[in-house]
Amino acid sequence: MGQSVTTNRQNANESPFNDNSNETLKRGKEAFYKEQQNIFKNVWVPVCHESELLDPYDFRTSSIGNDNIIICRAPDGKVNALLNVCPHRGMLIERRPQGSFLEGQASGNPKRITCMFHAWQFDMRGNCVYVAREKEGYQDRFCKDDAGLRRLRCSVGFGGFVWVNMSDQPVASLEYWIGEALAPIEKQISSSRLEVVHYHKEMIQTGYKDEILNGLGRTVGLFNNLFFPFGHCASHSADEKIGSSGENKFPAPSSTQSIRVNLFPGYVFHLDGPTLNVSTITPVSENQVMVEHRGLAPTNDSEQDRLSRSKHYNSIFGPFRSPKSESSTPNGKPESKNPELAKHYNEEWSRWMDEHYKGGSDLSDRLVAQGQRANTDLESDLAGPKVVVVGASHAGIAFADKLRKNNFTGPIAIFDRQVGGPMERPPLSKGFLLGGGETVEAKSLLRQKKWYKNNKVRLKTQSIVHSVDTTQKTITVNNGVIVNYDKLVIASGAKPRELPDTVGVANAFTLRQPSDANAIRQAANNADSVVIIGGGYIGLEVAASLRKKGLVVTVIEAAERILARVASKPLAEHFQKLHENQGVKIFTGIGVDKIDHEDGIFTGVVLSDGNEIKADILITGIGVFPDSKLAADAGIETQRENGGAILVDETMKTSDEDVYAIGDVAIRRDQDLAIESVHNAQETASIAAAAITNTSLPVIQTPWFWSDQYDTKLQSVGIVPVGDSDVYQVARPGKKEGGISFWSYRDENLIAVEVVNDPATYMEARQCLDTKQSPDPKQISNRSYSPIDSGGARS
Amino acid sequence: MTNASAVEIEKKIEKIIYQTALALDDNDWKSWFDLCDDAFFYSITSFSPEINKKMTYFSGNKKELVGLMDMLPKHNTDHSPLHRHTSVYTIDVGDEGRSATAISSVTIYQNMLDGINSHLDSGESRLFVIGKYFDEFTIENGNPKFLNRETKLDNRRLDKGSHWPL
Amino acid sequence: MAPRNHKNWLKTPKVEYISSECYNNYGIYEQEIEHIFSKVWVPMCHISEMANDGDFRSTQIANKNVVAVNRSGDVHVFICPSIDLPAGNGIDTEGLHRLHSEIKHGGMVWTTLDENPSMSVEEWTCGAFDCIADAIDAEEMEVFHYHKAVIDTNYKLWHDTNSEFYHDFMHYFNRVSGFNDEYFARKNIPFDNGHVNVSSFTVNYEEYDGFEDRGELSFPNLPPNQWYMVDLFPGYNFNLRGNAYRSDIVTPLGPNRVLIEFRGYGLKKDTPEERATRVKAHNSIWGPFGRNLHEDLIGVAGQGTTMREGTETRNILHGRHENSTIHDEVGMRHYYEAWGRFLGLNPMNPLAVLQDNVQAAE
Repeated sequence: MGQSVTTNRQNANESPFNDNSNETLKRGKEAFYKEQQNIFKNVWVPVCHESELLDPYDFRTSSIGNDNIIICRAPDGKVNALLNVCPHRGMLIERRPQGSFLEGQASGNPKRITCMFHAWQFDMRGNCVYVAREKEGYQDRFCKDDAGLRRLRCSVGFGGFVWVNMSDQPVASLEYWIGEALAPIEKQISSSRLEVVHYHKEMIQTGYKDEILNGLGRTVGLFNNLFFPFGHCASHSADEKIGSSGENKFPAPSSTQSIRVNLFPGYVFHLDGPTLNVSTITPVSENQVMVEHRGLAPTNDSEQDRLSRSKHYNSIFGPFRSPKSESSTPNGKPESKNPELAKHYNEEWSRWMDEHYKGGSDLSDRLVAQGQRANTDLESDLAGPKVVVVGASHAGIAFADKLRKNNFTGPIAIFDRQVGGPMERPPLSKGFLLGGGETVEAKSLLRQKKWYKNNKVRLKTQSIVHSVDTTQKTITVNNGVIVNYDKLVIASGAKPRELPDTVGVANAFTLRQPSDANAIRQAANNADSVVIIGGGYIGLEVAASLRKKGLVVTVIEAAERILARVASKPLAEHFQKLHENQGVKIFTGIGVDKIDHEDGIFTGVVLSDGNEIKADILITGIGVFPDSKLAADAGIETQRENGGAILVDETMKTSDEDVYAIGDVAIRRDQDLAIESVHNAQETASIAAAAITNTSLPVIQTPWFWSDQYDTKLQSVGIVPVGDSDVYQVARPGKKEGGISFWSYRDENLIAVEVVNDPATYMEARQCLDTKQSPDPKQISNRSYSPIDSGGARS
Repeated sequence: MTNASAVEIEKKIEKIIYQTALALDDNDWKSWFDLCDDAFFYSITSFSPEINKKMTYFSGNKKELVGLMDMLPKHNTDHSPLHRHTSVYTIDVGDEGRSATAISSVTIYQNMLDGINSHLDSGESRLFVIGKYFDEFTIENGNPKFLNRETKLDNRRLDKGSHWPL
Repeated sequence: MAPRNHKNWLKTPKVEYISSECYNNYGIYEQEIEHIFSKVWVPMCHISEMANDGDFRSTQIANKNVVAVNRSGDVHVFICPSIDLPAGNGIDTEGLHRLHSEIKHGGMVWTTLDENPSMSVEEWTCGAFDCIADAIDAEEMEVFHYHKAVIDTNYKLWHDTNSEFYHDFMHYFNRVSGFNDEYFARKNIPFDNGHVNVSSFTVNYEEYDGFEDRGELSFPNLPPNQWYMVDLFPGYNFNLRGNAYRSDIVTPLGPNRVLIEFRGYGLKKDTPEERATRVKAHNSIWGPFGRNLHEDLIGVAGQGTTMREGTETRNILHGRHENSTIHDEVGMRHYYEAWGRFLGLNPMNPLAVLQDNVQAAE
């Protein structure tokens, strides 16, 4: 048989990897995967427009960086993004490009996202709500609680586009990422509600980068270039002032201006005359890219306007557009009509491909630079000395608030290393852990956005202050950006102590920041048991929250009793009982010898008596240490040469005339005990604000504190000097069942009161301590005895 | 039977073949069945040089077809629309104008919707199958109805296949 | 419960799983071609496809062209560098390299690229066919149906689907005709070399509107309406449903592309009416326009989409335990144990070992 080879299996040799001699192809493919990984899976992608999923249960599917996603509208109207992959066997859950989950599919129920393969079902938030024959197949080893979908970061904004970021830790929020880049067309695209009225896609046989560079070179009639951080840029026609939308509505059908905004790495908002075209790229392979084109128009357009817009749109952007506006040159090399734009793009591209993107310093620098630019207006009308605060802690925010309340008129800037607005910290160990979601509720924010605006306080998140120069009165932010101050206030707080063996171990946590709480919450959603090292308030609050969530909880405390450093013995016993009744195991007077982990994932602990406790999560709550390195490095006096709290005087001033320290990072020279509490943060903030604005010092309150565990509320006032053998406690029954308080006395003098589930008694106790009254210790245990105005004055 | 009426019947047969293509393109099964006689029988066949046999891939009488189409919503199906391009090649009217046969060429394209990776594929048209229709008609009062349709495919590679008649 | 963040999504599952890398890594695919498909017995076609002296049938195994020729009733199989016809009569095999071959298990033509196979076909299949031997070996059979599919998915995903019945939920037909106590008592029975079979039960065909009982034309020695399944490592499936018998043969074309050849069989002695009944029974569920096959293929195509080359590595769960009954995923677990052994790697983290192997080889 001498005939030619024809088989219907010609694809056997299709993969470029098959031909080892062709290294170029292989490298091309590898570079393509790297781009997908480094760039596309880390940037904000406008996957669709909200008008494409108008009603609850509507969905749209898309893909980013090779992975398929679903965007759907929940019953509450919120738009969510989920990975379109079944957690069971990796099936593509929804195959349609668009539709509604309101109607049941062949394998599933209405209002459910159903995987056709084995009928696992999910709700619009990605919760798994049904696993077929769950108990029969998985018994108690696995259940729908373990089968939630992968949720993705998703925001709706900038003209109603749905933006998705595949990274859980984007280098910047969507607002920061876009920054000012869309400002040239922002008024237009937000002036009326828009809808997508045109859609088509093109497969272009070229690498996506070539296609984008071609586009950048094709700025016909557009002369003026604007450059923005993150590789974004814009071009607009010279004859019109950008952003001048006349009556502040979507371009009138007669509009003639042309503005093209290019968002890195390939999303173009092009306002041309009366039309808006938004094109998004999806790289398919190293030499193929898909471009989706959307045309948008106001929902309330008249038929005639819609028609004239459509005509204009089709001539410029449509699939049969005129050749002179041709937007793709197949196999073409990038033209360089506009080399500056190309350079700007290429620089950004190179940065991402250098793998510095994971929060590297360069990006952070640009974040700050961008933030400063955005706020120049804000500062220009402020006169007076400039106050810079390090740390958006309770103390830092309270300080700024007090400063403004004291009529301070100068600029205030707060730098904080965290992502997102500063949050209330106490709820983190309490109710927050019980929630199921991933996002921070707005109500947990210390201050809402408008507070910063109204008070002209500039907040810079994701900004690490590296050094302080007390001579030049400057700080250095993120490797290079220098900011000067007249008064510097350090409110950097404290950091949780970690056990060295837990560093780098997955599912081992400390709890201080919202991100910690988030991580614990997520891990707890997929865990059955937890070991908590440390029986202080944080440890016990977490224990209560996770117990409530159904986890098996073990608390290990090295001291002889829980709350040894912060509470009286009777109160500690009360709480120990409370926890044990809820099923929490508490070990006291015992250490941890070893942290066990497998493949870097925590599996259990070995106690100093050799006993082993297996668990899915470890939480260490063994106290905090002041984050004072910045001050110590700057030569500001701290408790010890290389650490401890920053020493301050009675006005919270440090050893440097223009530097103050407040909150958990500071300690008064005349104090020997640092108290980490919201009370302390607020009080020290008030004192420093008064000192800087030269107003009278606030009235000093007796320190107070609260804790919630299960349904029990503890309120304490005054400080219990634990370990002082002269101090004794008297218990007083509460007004209602379950209420009790412990009154601490030295001799006849009341020092502190700890109140459980008895707010009325707390108010009385507080009044006693604020007015320096000492009720009779012999009578206080009698419920009918009133502690107020009982005549006993403290010495 | 006069020549004129034969021509007329041929025209009607051509029309009914094209009407069927439109109805099938629209998944309008009812309109399709309305063009078929109660004794209608449908099959999809192919010849395989691999096993050297003529094969039947799908078949059913009208009642069975109605049942199968009614069941479709309960099944997981690729909903990518099919587009049939049909050319009637020959029509032979016989039996004194009471029956006829026709042979048509058919090329069926699939316009991708929810097949594989809809973000990339949806909206793209692909060649699905090629073949010929061998039709038999019964004619009453000059009006033809389908009595038999054999869709003879050239394809034996059918990839995901389909739940729909071709 | 709660949707998951990236970290939790990638967390090691509490039940048995394998890595999606098994399904999309080119290096693993190459190893499979070399260490599995070049070694095992492959049922390349059926003897009825080459019934006359001089008839030949060609295929491709592990990227090599192979031809089987009828030499006076004996089947000889050769490696054939160049062949352009799938079948025919008259082929010059002078000088071609001959391979081991056997006719076995209902007239399948088996061959192997292994020059010195350590086992006969019978030893290799080691009892997996016993449950249907009486039915498929009693009478001469012939192929009446052939079609093929090329799907962008990994060949093992097709075999997975054939090895688990938990996906009954995808098939409306199975849900109405199958779900009863007897059905759920069917057992998955593992055999050596990664093979599995599924024991029988009685299908209630008439529960699906328009379908008929298949009792009358059952295969020889098979009680009415029974349903057996033999899943042969690494990707060959034999499915006996009452009066219809089907085989699937996979030929991997890449890590994310597979050719599947589907055959339907009847008895040679079938009358035309009997044959028509079998053909209809085959087509109604398994034909390219049948109720189930289309659904199965959509399923694996969907998996192929989320696991195509360049997608993120994820965990694929194989952790259902139901006392080895029908919805137990024991079939897949058994398969991947054998698969891991063949390649010397761990299906949960195949690339770790693969890279070690490659480095050692270098």
